[in-house]
Amino acid sequence: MSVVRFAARISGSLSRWGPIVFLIILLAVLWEGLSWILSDVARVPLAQSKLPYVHEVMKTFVVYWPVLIKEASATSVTVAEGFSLGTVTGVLLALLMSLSRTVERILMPYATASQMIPILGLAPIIYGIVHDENLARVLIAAYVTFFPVALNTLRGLTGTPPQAVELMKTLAASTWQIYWKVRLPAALPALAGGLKIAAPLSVTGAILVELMGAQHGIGVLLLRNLYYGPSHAYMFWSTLITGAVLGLAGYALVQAVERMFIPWQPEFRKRGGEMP
Amino acid sequence: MSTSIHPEPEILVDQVSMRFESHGQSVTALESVSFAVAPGEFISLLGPSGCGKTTLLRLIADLLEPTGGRILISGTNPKEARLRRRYGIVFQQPVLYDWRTVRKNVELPLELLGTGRSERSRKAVELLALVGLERFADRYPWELSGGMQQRVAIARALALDPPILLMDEPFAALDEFTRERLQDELLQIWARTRKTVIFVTHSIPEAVYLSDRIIVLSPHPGRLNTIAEVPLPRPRSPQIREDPRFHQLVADIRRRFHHSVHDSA
Repeated sequence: MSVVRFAARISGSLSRWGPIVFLIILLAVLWEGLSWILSDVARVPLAQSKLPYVHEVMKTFVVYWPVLIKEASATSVTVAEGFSLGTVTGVLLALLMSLSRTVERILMPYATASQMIPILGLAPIIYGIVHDENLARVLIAAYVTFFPVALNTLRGLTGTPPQAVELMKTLAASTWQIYWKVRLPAALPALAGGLKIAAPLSVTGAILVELMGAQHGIGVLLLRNLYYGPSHAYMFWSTLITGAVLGLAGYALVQAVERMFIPWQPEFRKRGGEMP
Repeated sequence: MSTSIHPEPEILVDQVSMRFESHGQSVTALESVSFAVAPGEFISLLGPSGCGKTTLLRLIADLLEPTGGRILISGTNPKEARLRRRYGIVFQQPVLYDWRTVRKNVELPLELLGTGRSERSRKAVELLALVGLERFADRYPWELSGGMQQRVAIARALALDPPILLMDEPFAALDEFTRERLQDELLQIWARTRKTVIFVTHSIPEAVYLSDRIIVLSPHPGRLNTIAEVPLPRPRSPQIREDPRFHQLVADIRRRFHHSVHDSA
């Protein structure tokens, strides 16, 4: 019985992860082949900077992982702080805007316009104001986070089914109770959607600011390897991949938290039909 | 049984009119409707779509304000009655909150009132027993069938033990078998709790089976057609559905509709 269940579980996870693993291997092989064609067949100049050998990049991972981990964790701390700050700001903004149409009309254009400013231009301005590279990085990460969070949360708050709110009215609920017990829980899936957009964005935002002069972080490592040129191409690529993995990890973390705290969403429900 | 002349009606609808303004056009949903409901009476609002029966219920529930006439609930206006939680309501959709278990959904009205945790839980289990769902207390609404969800909504509407129960086509979305079973359950609950019930429906047999009196409404604009007494004995059991008197009453009301439709056409 348990053997059967175990086998079923193996085949279950195989059917789930099999295609993903297969795709990764396929991509790696393709990449390796293309890289070989570029550098050894076509003899393109600086081919390894353009498309490095996968195995060489992997090798730098094995050798330099302590450095990569150290810089990645420096970036992660920044991102975590900025992401939290941005989330709180975004949710508060959404609450304010949902409470009053006037506030929404006043704030929304500015919130939207704020997203038109290129981070590359904004970072030195913020640095010039706060004179603290760490704080500047946190603020930029928060800056890219708050908008998708505010927009999605607002949609969730105002998009609460009218009948769900109406029922609370028939129970003589206060505005505060309607928010706390209905609108906020109903907005959580939308908030999670915003967080999933914001998580990788805040990582790239933080890295971008690190490029502009910081002591630690993925961005610093990127810049240093870029500076040394082709001799550090593999390290550059592995740093880049580390940055991407960081963004993915942020996304996965948000999704895990979502699954834990908002388990009632249709996509998380167990299949198997309803009861009689 | 039914008391059309009662010193103090539970609900009084007096010359009530409702106009909706939209896109510069004015639509009359209800025109000068009047009737009174005695305490403990089971009343149906019956009519085809467009007769304003749901609008009327929403006016009584203070989810809308009439543009003419007045409504009195236990001597006060609907807003006062709502704030004093004088009624429980059941909509056509169950409107249960997905993030709450069945028990927590039933507890909600008590929670809003500030009732303590253990008292809430005790009351919720008691109410779920009343609708036969005590075994499902810790399930989530989306794990239940439509009929079960609507039973949870009924339990929730009774949570504060209000004197009035408002029901807006509560069984319209259910299949025939579930609907008839829930009608019987509702009658049992009503017999035990003696609520004043206003039940909106477009089904003539449903109105006849459940009600003491039926407020028959005509459409375009919504207005009172007749008030039909249902002299069938209580308690009513499913056998009554086969009773010739039952069929006679259904036929009588149906005929009135056809007349009114021809009149307005």
